[in-house]
Amino acid sequence: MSWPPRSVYSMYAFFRRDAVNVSSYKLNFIFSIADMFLWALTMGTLGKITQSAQAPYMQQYGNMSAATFMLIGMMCNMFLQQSQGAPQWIANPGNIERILLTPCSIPTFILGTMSWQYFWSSLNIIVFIFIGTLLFGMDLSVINWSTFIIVLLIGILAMWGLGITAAGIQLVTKQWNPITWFLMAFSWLVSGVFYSPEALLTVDSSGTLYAFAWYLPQTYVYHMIRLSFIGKTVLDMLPTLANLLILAAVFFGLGWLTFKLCMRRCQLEGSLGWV
Amino acid sequence: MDYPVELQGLTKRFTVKKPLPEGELGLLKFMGRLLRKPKTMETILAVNDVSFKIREGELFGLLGPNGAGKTTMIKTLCTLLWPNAGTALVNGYDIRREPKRVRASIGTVLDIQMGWYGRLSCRQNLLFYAQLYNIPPSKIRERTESMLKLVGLTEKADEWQQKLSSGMKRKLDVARALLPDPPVLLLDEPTLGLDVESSRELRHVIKHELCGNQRKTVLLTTHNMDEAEQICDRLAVMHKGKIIAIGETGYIKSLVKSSEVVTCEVRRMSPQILASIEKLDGVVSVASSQPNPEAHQLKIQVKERGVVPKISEAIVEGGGLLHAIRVEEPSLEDTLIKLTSEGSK
Repeated sequence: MSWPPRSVYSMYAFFRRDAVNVSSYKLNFIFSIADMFLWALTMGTLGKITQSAQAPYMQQYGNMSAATFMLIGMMCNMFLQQSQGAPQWIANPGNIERILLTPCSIPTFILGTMSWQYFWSSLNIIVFIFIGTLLFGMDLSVINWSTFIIVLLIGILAMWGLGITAAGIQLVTKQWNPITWFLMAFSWLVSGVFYSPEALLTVDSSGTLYAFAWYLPQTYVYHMIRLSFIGKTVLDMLPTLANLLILAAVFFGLGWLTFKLCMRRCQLEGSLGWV
Repeated sequence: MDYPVELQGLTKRFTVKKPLPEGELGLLKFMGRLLRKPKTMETILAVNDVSFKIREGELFGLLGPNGAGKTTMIKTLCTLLWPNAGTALVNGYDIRREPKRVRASIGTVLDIQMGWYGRLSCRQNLLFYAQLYNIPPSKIRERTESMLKLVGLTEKADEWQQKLSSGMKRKLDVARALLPDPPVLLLDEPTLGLDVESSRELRHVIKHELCGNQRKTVLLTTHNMDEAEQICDRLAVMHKGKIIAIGETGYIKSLVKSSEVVTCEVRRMSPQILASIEKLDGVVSVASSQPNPEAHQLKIQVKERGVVPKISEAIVEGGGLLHAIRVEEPSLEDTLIKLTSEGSK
């Protein structure tokens, strides 16, 4: 096997392309860095302000502070949102036709396109953890990093499924796909980015929103990542993890199938390069 | 390999929606149409059972009017489109069964410039594609620089792609196609948008450097008859998805050599003059254009020169002023017009 492996070599090309492109907008680049710190401060402050209201729901997370709760929610959300949104960029007609003419495979193309965004989201996580520990009492002493990473990766897989579905539909319809946008936007409301899903029961006594929340992979990811912050292992939350795995398998499987079908349809119709 | 490009009954159909006629654009009529589910689809045969072979190191030209199916054929050969029937072998690989290997064997310039990143320099853009083509890190710089030099963009290497003129962007397209050093090149109007000198330079590179020295096999589509006549070893004339003539440039021209072309410059032109010329014995076809507001240019294909005085008479009797008249051998352009008009009939 040649070194570096072909897919890694190609992915690095995408990463470098995006790094050069983003840094060419110098002012925007500087403000994006400032933006990370401001978001972390805002989330932490919001958590402190809502501490008393959030306290009853924090018992399951070892009574973690609302600030920590919100910082974790926000940094996971960045990763998940990138995972769902980035595959749609590949549906850019000029881009996809041209890349398909190279020996680069579609998975490498998708992963490569997302590599810069993941790097950026990882920087966000570091900033959030830094601000959280420095100013808002985030405790990293008991965090179970392996659980954190496993849950995040499975969550990313599920969100890719949604993103790839959207990209496939966008290839055929040439329109922005509102279904996946709705699922993403709805997750802000019910999945527990800012408050625990249990808090929904205070505004919706029928429990419909709460029940719906557990059909979204994001809800499982936020919940289990928070548990990993109080030292819970994968084994401690196997049933919940199994649910997430099923959702990820279904979403990703359907997404990949949809994308392949849509791509084939475009190749038959000749509409791959249409705007 | 004797024939790096071999088409075997290649067919590509498109099913497209018919646009609504003007009379059906009202909301109620539109809703009625939706409910009745009428057939609004039509099938277009863009490439129709096409077979030919291209020899190694050959520069093969594909000529045809707009909508003839040239770009569809190129896109099918480079695996961006899936054929409905038949297949093609590119560098020995089947476009249906081994699309990845086909893509690794070709360099492509498409008719529309796409896939560039405006805020990356020319060099950075080419480096990006060189990595996707898996050119080893040790050779990537050298290869990129030599391609920039080949197309004459060394001085612009560090400029943002978006700042280039459209001709320079075209050159960058060609450089990208040549990056992986492919044995087969599919060039869809490579000189489109280039100035006269750049076109000539690029034609020289394609003919002498790529086909002559490097023995690359080139399939080139063009609207430029002079270009085709100057550089192509063989030509195929495509019309409505079919190859209607194929052979060496001289042979294609000889297809209409039995006729000659009379070019007339006429002032005070009228439809009656055109009709009376068309009726004359020995006139094969008449094409009219208006290069300037005062005068019309008629290109009349005739079977023999003897009909020329009758043409002059018809113009004068019709009230026209005959400004100039000359008899020429048919050019490739005349041949194309004749072949495609016969194809239409």
